Amino acid sequence: MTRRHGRRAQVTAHLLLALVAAGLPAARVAAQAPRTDPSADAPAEPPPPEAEPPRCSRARRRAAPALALTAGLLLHGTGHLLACERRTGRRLLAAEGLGFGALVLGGGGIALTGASRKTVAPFATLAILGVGTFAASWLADLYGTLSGGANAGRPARAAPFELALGYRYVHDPQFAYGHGLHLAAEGWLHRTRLFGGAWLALDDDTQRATAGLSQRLLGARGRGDALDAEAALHGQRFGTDGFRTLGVDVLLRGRLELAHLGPTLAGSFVEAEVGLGLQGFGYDATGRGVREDWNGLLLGRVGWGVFLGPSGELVAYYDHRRDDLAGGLSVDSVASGVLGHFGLAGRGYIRDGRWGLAGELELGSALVVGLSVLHRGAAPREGGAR
Amino acid sequence: MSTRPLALLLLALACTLRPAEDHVRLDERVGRAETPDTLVLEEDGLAAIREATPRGARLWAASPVLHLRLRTAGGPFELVVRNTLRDATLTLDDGTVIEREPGGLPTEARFVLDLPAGVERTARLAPPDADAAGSFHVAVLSDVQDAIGEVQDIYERMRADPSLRFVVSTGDLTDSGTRAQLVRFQEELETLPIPLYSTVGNHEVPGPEAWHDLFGPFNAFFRFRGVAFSLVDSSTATVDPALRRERLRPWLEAHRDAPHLFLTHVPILDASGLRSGAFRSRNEAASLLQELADAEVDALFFGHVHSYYAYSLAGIESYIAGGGGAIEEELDGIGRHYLRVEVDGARGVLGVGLVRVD
Repeated sequence: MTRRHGRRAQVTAHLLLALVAAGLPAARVAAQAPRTDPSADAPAEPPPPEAEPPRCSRARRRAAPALALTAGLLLHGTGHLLACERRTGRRLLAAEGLGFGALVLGGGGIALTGASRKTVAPFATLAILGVGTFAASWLADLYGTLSGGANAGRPARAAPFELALGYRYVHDPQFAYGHGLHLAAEGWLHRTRLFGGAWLALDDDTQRATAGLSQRLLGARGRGDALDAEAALHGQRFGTDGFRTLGVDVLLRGRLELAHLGPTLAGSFVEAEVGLGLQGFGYDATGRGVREDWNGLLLGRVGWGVFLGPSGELVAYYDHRRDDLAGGLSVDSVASGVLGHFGLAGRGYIRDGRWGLAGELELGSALVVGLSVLHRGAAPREGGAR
Repeated sequence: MSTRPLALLLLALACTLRPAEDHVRLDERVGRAETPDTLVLEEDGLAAIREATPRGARLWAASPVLHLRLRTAGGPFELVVRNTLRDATLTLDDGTVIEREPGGLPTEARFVLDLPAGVERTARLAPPDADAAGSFHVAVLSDVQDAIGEVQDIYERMRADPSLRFVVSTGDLTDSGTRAQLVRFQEELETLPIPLYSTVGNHEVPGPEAWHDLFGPFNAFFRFRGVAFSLVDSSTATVDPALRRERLRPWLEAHRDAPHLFLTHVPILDASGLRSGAFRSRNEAASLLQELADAEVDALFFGHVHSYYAYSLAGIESYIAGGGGAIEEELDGIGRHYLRVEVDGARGVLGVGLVRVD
């Protein structure tokens, strides 16, 4: 056996060991989780609060967030276990195991195949979902031990239409633009959401526009439990820099309220999307329009968030795409050129629910900061259209 | 209220948005050593000056042609330049040709100078055909990483090809860029009778100071026999905007008339977009491709992906050749390899051949 083959075998052995270590306890605990009907066309109601042990001292509950922050970094759910929320704690631990297992399987697959063009898409998708699950289970442990299920926030119901007008600043050291006008609109037609948006640089000849439609496959209209299939077009024109791009995406996007895992997690959720894209590039230098170069695009996004009040939310996310204004993050290590960007987005409505604000912060190859005013055509009633 | 946390946050942000800025700043210091009595300067920053004393200097060349400025304290001054072409000679500004001292490695040029004390002289280190017309061959080799123990297989193939003038690389010569690994790479290179010029890969990023000390510039721009070579640092999946603005853009403009080979480690766009082992921002990638196409660059060479691809970007023929031995891309049937490129100052790129080593 050559030294090079020996090296690969060594990597394989380590990955298999890690998989076994991660996967076995995860599978065991996951088997204890209650089943839900994935075909239901309405959000599953959070389960009733579980029967708690008769006594759980206030000191244990107070110490739980600290444990979630420390030992909980390694074993997610330990904060809940200390706070006598055993079932939730076990589920979070199972989620961590599943996430870690997916990460090892995905990352290991990439390593073992040398990032082969033929297998990289499923392995990378698995790794992204694994990272998301792993991170969300820790954040959920921390959130649940801090909130104790007292967060009364709930998902916003869908309004017939929503408009956004705002300002978005993009600091990208590669480009001259900075200040931009952000416009967006969306509307529901039965279970189909139509959406569009644009970013128009105010200090440069650069524009970006998006349009698409999203079909709700599972769940009610609005921002709660849902599974959507989406298709979108993205066009960019960089007049100053002499190029244009046109991209098409198809993806699946899901959101799950974490109250399904335990009552302390009420008011929080996870979301994920996976899909594929194709992007065309055109250059002034060649003059062949956006058909000069074609490049595929792997789409993957994972996020964790909380509902704020009757219709607001805040979500932290990782988005694997590198074709937008935020681009991908560089790290001063061998991992350069792999990552997408991280972001934080929030929205909320005031007064009668017609007017609201949305903000975003993204960090990749550029820093993106935005604030928009939202307007909804009609304030949706509680328990509105589905 | 302390402003330190905010300052640290802004610093971290700046590092994230311009991760290669320190490489650009280090490049500004490459090729210069000066004391009150002596000056050793490579005018284009294309040599690491490893040692400079009143009695001599030791350099590592990052280009087949060096333009030197020398000032000594008088008396014999030994100039040793490693990583040179085997037929390179030193020509002083008055036309005097200094022959190499006998012995040593083919890629090590030793000259003994006797210059008047305190007088600054210019000198050109180059082979006799540095400005000649006609075609020549170079090899493109990248991504050796932890396969340094087997790199002699590749050098053996190269030694069997006497037409090769030098090797150019997009980096990832070592596994993690430590000083010991870089020294080991240079020691292994001693068996190769031709020099190797390289930019950095992402595996060299963790130790930029070691690269700066031992190899010199992260970015190298030179012209040989009428062909322009750009070796550009994309080790952090981006090209620093100051480098593009202050060095690459003027270089592209100045050599628009010449055949131009552009080498950088990370593919500007990966041939496999779903993998996207490429620039961190596709908008930056498109912007750079527009600039390279506009300057009529003839060929792009990348590493980073451990396989071989020939494709086109912005109408420019493009190659990924990460076959130096790092863990290979499976299911592609490629294995270790390098490229053999024939290029002519008047006619451009005449051929790019894949040389399989395994």
